[in-house]
Amino acid sequence: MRFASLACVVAIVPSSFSAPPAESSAERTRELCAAILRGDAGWQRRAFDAFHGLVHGLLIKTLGPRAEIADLTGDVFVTFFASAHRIHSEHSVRSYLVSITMNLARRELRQRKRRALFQRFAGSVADYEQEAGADDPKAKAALRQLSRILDELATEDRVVFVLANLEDMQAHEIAEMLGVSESTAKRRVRRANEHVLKRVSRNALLADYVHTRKEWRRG
Amino acid sequence: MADDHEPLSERQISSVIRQLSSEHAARVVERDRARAWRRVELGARPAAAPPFSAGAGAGRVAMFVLAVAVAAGVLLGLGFRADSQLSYELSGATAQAGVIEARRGEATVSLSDGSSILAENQTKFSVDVVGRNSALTRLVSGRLHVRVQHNADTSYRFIAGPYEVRVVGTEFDLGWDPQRGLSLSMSKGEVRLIEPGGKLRTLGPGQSLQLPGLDRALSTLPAAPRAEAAKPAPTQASEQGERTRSMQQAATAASWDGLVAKGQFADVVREAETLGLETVLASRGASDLKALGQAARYVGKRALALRAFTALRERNRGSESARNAAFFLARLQEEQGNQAEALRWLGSYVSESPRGVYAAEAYGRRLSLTERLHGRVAALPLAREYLERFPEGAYAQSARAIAQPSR
Repeated sequence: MRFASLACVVAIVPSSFSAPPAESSAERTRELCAAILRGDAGWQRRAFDAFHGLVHGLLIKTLGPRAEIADLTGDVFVTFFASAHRIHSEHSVRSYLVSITMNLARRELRQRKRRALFQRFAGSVADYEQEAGADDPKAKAALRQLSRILDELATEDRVVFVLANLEDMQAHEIAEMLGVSESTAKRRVRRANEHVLKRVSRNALLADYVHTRKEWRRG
Repeated sequence: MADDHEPLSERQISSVIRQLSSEHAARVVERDRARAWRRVELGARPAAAPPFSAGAGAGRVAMFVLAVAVAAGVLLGLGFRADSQLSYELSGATAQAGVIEARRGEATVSLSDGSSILAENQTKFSVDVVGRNSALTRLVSGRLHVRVQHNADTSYRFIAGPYEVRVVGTEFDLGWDPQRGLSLSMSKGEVRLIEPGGKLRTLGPGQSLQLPGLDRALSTLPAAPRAEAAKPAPTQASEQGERTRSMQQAATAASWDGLVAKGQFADVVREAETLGLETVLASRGASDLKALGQAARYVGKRALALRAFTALRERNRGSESARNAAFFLARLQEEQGNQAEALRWLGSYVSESPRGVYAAEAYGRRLSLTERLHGRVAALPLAREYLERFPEGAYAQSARAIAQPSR
């Protein structure tokens, strides 16, 4: 049964995740997949080296600059190693990892909200695990504030926001991945975007910072 | 400010978040890679579930039941948490034999009571949990930004060279360089700073302080205690003088264990130095030597700690405290980077106390050091022995990885 659901996951992950970026990379992924299926010695380390950046980046985008990202990255690979023998093609490796990562991120967000709730209940402060950001203090402050704004979103809305806006996934792909209808996915994307836009626009310093960044400008 | 610009768009915001996230990821990816792999090696219990699946109806019912149970457990846990021991998580650096060194940017110590210590790049320090809301941090060199969450029994101490900063709940920056000296800059709350001579200063919000480095700080100490410490024991002391000395020593001796229990390590070391280290090491009982060894270790005087535990072992041969001293000597040697010597002492400990109170840790450390120094083949019998004795022990995952490498 789990094998069947895995095949389903593999099928729904978008091309941006499943398509290898370069020929050499595709070849490496193919070799890695074969190594996994054969159970070659050291395939775990090879998989870790090949996909650490992907998992790490996805977790940071989804969870923010948190101190526990490294540990969560390790957790993703522990899960992956336990079930990777079920993978049946080279395209599956990457997409399977993405699915595990987003699933873990979703659970982590829920747990974080529960912790925050209990911490409020217990009267303690909850944001101490935020990790220091970039060396540029403005960037550091902006990333933290943006992360706090994303923290305000419901878990599903946040995951949708990341997949749609930061990973450029289409609504139908998100819908399939999360097991919801396309209209639900679109509604969540819209709701998340509205919230983030409203909160950033009201924060004068943050809005100013977004304006001054050049990355979004085209031409 | 923002009003001077056109209204923001979702695309702009998303782009900035993506860019900032990528910049942050690029900055920490190498550091996090090592830590993530270490977690994999330890075989951490995965927090991640299998990928999304559509047909999880039965699972969701089970999840609901589980959630109810977890909610009840968490509510009960709130009461438990209030009594639990302080713990901390380190990120951005690795601890080598207890010493944390931030080598690639900032490192963060997040404590379970909500306090945090942010260490700047190139900062070396250690953190020891002393009690429920008590911790001792030893700043070897570098700079810390500290935020201590106030609780009824909070007691945080920061040792920087000869200085000690005592905190109840506050936010401040602490810097220490043995040559340049100490810098303390307060943001919130209040701290007390104790200078080597015992002088006490209290600093409040906005205040800052600069104090001299190690040599100058020690040169300002009163000469009397130093002279007394250096002076050999009198050969023909008067009866009255001897009795007074004995009474003083007895009074101090009775308090060393208590001082260590309260985290007043610097006081123990200071008293020992005042009385004269040679005298103390040659005359004090096992419990005092153990207290001195622990106190010296906590304030970073590892050479003194080694002397204390060595004296404890030599002067109390065959006793339990002497056997335990082997374990402490191993730990100190490892902290100093003398892994071979640490391994030798661990070997002594496990052969003398195979069922001692530190046996599980000693067997685990011995396994770990053997693998590091002599390779997996040499570690294999130790891994099997460990798994036989401590199948659920802290080093069981590592032992399994050695004993069953193909899994």
